[in-house]
Amino acid sequence: MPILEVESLSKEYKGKGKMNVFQALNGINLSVDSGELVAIMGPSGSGKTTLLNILSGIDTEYSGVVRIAGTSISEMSKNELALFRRQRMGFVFQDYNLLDSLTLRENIMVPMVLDDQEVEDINSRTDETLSLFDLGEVKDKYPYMVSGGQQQRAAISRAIINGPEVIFADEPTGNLDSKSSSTVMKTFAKLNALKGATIVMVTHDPFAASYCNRVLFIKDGKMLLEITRENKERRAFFDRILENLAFIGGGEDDL
Amino acid sequence: MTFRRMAFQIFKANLRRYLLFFLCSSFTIMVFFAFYSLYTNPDFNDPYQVNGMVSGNLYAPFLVMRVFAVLFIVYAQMAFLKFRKSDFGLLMVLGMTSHNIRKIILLENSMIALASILTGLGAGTVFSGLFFFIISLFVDIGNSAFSLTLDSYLYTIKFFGVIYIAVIGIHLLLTLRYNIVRLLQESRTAERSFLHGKFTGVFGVILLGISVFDMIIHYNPDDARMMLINLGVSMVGVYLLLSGLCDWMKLIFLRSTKAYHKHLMFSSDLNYTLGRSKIVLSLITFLVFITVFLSGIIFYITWNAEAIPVKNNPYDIAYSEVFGKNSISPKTLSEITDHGATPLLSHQKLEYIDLFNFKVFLDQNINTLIGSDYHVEKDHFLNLAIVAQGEEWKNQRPEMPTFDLKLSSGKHTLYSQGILFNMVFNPVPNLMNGLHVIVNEEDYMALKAENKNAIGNLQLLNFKDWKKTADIDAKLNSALAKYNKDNTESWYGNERQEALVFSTKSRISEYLQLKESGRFGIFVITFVGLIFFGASCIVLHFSIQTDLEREKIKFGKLNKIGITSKEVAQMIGGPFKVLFFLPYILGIALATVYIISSSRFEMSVALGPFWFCLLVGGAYLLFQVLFYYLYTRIYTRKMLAHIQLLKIPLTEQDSTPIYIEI
Repeated sequence: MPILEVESLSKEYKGKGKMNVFQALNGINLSVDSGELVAIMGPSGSGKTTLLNILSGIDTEYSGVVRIAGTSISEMSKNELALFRRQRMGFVFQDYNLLDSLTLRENIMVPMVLDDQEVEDINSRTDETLSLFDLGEVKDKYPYMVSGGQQQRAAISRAIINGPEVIFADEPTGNLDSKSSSTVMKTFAKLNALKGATIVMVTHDPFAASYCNRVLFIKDGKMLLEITRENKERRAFFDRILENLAFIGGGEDDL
Repeated sequence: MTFRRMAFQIFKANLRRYLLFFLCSSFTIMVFFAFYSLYTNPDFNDPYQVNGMVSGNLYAPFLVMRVFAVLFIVYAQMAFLKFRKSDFGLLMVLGMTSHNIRKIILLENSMIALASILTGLGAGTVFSGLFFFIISLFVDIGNSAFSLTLDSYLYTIKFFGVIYIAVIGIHLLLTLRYNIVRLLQESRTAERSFLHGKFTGVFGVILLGISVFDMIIHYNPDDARMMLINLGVSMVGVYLLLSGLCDWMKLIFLRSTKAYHKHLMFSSDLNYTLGRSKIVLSLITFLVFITVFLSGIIFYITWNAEAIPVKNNPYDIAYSEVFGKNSISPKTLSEITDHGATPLLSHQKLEYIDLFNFKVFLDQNINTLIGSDYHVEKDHFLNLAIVAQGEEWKNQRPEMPTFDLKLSSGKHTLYSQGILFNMVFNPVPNLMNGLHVIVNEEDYMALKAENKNAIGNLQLLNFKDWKKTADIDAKLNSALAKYNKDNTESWYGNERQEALVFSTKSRISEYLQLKESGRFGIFVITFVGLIFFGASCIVLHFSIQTDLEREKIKFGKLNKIGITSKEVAQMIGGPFKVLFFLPYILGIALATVYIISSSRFEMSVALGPFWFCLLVGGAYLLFQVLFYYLYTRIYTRKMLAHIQLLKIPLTEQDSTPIYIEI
């Protein structure tokens, strides 16, 4: 059953003058089923992050339809979207997006605190998430006191604290070394396997993408192709991703 | 490109940032110069031209103005350098040495200091003329003329020159501790404060308690130092209280898990806000305290302009005949009193002996005059304190233990029988330049027999309506001055001084003087109050600006998680309420305590000035509430626009008069 549906999604950036229009997304159609772990790949400037920002309701200037769990987010006001984002979506960002003035534990509970949920619920779910991602020892430390990997795991914990229907991740391993990247991706895979979480991830990193079930490639704002892992080994899927990347092209910095 | 050229380019690029700082500094110098010009204007300080009560009303506000100028310039300079710290970090990353940074600091700040002083003096020259003109509309300044002296310019240059040199010097020294990483993080990290923790707050409360207790119990109107020391201790107490407040609030929130969750964001925001703004909040507390305290007193005195002269003068008009002075004939006197706007009800006299340093009265004469039954024993005397304040003045007026009667038969020592606090007669000028003693008949007669020329007569006149006696008082003073000029030798060789010493002391003249000085006082304190209010708004703005980058990043992050515009407004409003209102509440509370303790002694009243204090404090708070709503609204709208929860056209952002860079 699709949890995320996108129809004829287009986005233009207008500059000064009538001719100065940049087509960032051009008629994208997409469907993600519940429990899928999907990666979106493409070269720099292909529209990956624009797509993710629209799917997650951060960017509201577009044409087309985006439905999450049957609800069209295109018709929501910015404040409704903010609440929808907080209560029904989870986010993981390249720069972790943790608040410097709060400890990791406090950062994780922020969405529930903003929702004014029951104290017992907040505490029990925060503690449960902390132990799931092995953050017990550093829970009372501030973000700048822990490693990038630990910060990203805290960010993932925060993303799932409200039991979201879909988790969006924007370059979640972009700032991490290979060991931390591997830990973070294993965390996503665990989340997907154990909790059936739907995860949509934008990444440059073929290694990170190889943990997914499906990889979508976009270029110049258009969906070029998609590949699925099926029952392949991760290593074989990784090679296939590399082949496709070579096929669609892109700068060295995209790899 | 030379280094100097590059430094100038950086200066030019930052011009908008410099502008507010430069304008604030120039404005402070301008107002300071206007005050100093008036303060040193020879005509304005001439008691023969301008009522002494009026010119005296400038002393306290100008003293406060000087303290304010120091604190404000130091703070503004510090806030400005904080803005620049992250720029310096970046420049150091690009290879600039600490020495180069020091050169930039020296160059930029010297240019600002010089430009501020020159602009301030230029604007001050015009403004002081305007200031003088406005004052002349409020009070009678006689023939005083507006004048500017070289001293005003030199003093202002020296005063601000020293402040700037000190502040720039300190900052240059601090650059020795500059560290690239710390400079770059400057706008994103909480203030590293040495003074924090629960005990700091407790210590602050203890200091506040001690100073307030000392003011209430040991206040001494003659000891201005005591009040200043207590004020200093109170301000240190406020600073320490603010330093520890955050830890106390955290402790309170942690006692309840629900409160901890509910105030999670507020508590962490407050940590940053208070960490950065302790000095600002202490400065605003001081400004509010001074404004409310001085306004409370001045408004009370003006409001009570009728009650105070009645309390200070038991008779409507009084003057003293002594040493041949003021001996106008009964006919002349009745011509004046019979043709006034109000009829004379009584004319009493009180005889005394004027021994220059001592004015000696007979107990029976006093009894006859005021209906008392004082009886001075043989070889004794009573000290008489002519004060309206009553017994509470006791500590201020010491009792003279002995009094020597110098008679031809030799020295006869009298011993004190006690001290009498009683406003027996009006404090007539030529009667107040000595101590007053009451003796018994035997001693009085012996003294009188040997000092016939020194026998004085106090003339005490009461009318039906003292408020209609202005014309009578003026005519009487003219008659006395004419008589003394025509019939006696001048004591002082100065007609004006002569007229002043041998003038009457009347309720109406004190009433008119109080009204006039009150008008002037209200004008000055309102002016100073408005400047302080503006200054407190600006320092708050500076303080909020230093946190702006961090706030933008924070709300950007929260927006990605999902935050509504209402929640953004609430998150901004929480710490802002503390910033905007805590110093006002502290300042008003302190001012009311100080005013109660001082007015209890000075005016034998406590609640009158207290209510005025609360009234002025309330009005001040009302202004702040308006400023809070306006500022928070603009700030919130711009923050919402920044995180794209609200659409504001860029042009509108740029044209907003309040300088917020988002």
